[in-house]
Amino acid sequence: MAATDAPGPGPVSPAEAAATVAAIRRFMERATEFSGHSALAGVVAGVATLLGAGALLARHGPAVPPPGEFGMVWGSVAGVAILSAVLFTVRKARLRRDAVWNAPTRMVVAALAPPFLAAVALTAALGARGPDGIGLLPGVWLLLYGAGLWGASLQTRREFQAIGAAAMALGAAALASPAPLGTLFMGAGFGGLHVLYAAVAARMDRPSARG
Amino acid sequence: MRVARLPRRIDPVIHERVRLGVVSALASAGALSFSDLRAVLGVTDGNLYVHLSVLEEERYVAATRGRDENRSRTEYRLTPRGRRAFRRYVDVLEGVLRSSPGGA
Repeated sequence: MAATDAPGPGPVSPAEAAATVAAIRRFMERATEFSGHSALAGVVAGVATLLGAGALLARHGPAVPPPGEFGMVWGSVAGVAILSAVLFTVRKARLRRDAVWNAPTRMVVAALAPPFLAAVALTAALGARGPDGIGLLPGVWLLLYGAGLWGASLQTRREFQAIGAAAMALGAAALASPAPLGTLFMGAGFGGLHVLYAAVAARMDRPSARG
Repeated sequence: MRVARLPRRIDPVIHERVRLGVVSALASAGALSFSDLRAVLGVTDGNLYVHLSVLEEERYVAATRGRDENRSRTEYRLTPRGRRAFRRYVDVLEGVLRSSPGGA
């Protein structure tokens, strides 16, 4: 590669061109390590949700599951999603030699915390009402998660706004639909949207020598 | 920093190791902070700053400056002009490889 303060070199040789293309690929792959973490966390959350929804559908079909099983499955899925988000955030901070609790992390947590706390309160209140209340939870969770993502998008990744809006739309549709369809909306919302986002992000970030 | 004249079609702004790294990384990641770029490229603050300044002067890279509490935080993205220049640069390299004996 040429030094730019010196007189220009001769034409690029095939060997230099090959070495430069290889360097471009290395830089792109390394950059992807810094940008792909939210996509990877999204894949884990999405796959966990799809597995949870699949398990509930296999056992109960399109019906509201028993409260204990409903809580165990979706509580486990939420735990896996939160744990993966924490692990990928820590890994990214270590790669950057940055603090884990840095400004972007604080912004996302600050945006998601109010709807998360609202979801906890509503889950307790609606869960206590039995199957009728539980049937409303998928719609409530999707609406609140979408609102949180939308809020986070204002200060972090702009792609979150579209995902947040889609999650809110699915949440509203879930609330307007018969309760037994809640598991399908959970799969489409928390599962499908996360996996779709990860696929789009991976496509955008895919290392390539093409601009 | 003065950018020397290079053979026609090879972009002298990009044809430098650190600047090529910046442009490649931003083409891949979309946007990266100064500290991300420094870690990706393994260069010093001063070196990176100088080359980012060249890319900004040439309008290949746009910076968004903000603050994290008491620390400044600058995020960099390729401009459409920078993305086109990178694509042309890669096209030239691929052309050289294709025209070489045994090239694809």
